[in-house]
Amino acid sequence: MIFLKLYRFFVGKVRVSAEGIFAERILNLCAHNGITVWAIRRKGDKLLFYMSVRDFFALRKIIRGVGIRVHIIKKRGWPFIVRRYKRRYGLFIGALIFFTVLQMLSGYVWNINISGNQTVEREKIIQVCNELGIREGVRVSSLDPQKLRLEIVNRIDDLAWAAVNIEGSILTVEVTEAEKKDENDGAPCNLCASADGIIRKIEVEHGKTMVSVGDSVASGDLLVSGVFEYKNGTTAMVASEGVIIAEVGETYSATVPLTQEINVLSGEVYSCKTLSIFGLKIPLYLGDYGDGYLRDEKIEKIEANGAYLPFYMHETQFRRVEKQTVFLSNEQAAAIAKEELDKKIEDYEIISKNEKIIENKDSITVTYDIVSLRDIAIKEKILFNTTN
Amino acid sequence: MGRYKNNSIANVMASGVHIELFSNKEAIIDGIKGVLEYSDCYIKLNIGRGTLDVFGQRLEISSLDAEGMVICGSIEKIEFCM
Repeated sequence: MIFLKLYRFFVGKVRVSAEGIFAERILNLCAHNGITVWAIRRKGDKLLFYMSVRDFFALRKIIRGVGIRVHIIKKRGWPFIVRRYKRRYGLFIGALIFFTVLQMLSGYVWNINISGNQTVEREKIIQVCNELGIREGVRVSSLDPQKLRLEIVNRIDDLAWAAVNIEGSILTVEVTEAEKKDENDGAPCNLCASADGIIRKIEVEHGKTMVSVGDSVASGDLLVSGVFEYKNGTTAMVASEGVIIAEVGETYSATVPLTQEINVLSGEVYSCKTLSIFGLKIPLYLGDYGDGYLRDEKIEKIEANGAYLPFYMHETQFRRVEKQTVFLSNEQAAAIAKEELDKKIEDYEIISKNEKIIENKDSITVTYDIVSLRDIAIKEKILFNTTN
Repeated sequence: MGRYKNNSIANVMASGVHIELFSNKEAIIDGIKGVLEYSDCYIKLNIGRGTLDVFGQRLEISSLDAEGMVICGSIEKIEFCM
């Protein structure tokens, strides 16, 4: 029905009023001459109906001498709209330019979307895409998605799979990251001590335990062996797995100079705008700001229907930074050193902590002697010769 | 037997009037010869051998061509007058 209405709109239709003796005859004449009429209504002596413009001219010939008068009371449809504006050439030229530009622009990439990445940085993928010629403003027909997807996977080791999908002017790079596998995964290995300590807890899943709770071990000592020797003389090798918790004594120290140079914002701010059209950046400022400035970049993109328009303003703010020398008191320097050390040991289960502050000539050194509980087991691959 | 042959479904459909009703709101009528009278409560159609009268309220011929017509409105009665 909607197509019929559209067809009638584009062909043009007229509302006709017919009057005369036995006006129904006009309907029969129309039917017999293959003229379709619709929405027929009686209004007093008159019959009102719609018909196409072309059929109206045919109707006038058919009803000649029949004694029925017809006249148009409404004109609807595209031919009448065109006729109304046919002398306004600007409208037609504007519409022509609009559709030409629309057709032209739809052949270019407007947006690049990246999806599926979790650990691989978006910027890295964008950079590789740029190297391969995928950038805003490039012609869609110049891209070969099949070739590009293979190139992306080849250039980024952490990706297992990639696809380049082009929908209209939006290019989407979908990626799947490769699962990272431990090099020693499944390979026969021992568990060795990573630090000196006294064993407090042993939880071994695979392997032969070589130490007991209470034993003292040195860094590099064998804790869990991956080699089994059976009574019949055969040997089997496994990948040792387990957790060996030991009491470890360690010393950490941090030195903070009493005189420090810090960066202070002077308050001078310069704002520079760059117009970006299809990836082409046009600077709207003169000069350059190099060292001694902090850069803040702000991009405001205009969103339409879930996609960004390919032109936007890129604003860079340069804040002038001045170096100032600051003299710290012993307490302030010690506090900074302690903060630094606390960050290092925040994950440890501390049993005891001994703190020492040494005042040097131009610096403060803080030393922590700590005893903590932690897993000291590290995997060490078993190397064996396979040749006879 | 010969009588049944002459009145086969194919013959009836080719020569007679074919009426389809959608509830009492719309009637599609094919095989008519012409419109004899038309008002918003009564439409009289020429079907060759007699007339077909459609009675109702707010009747409107929504489409008319050489093959048939579509009548919309509240149809109350359809009557054959032979």
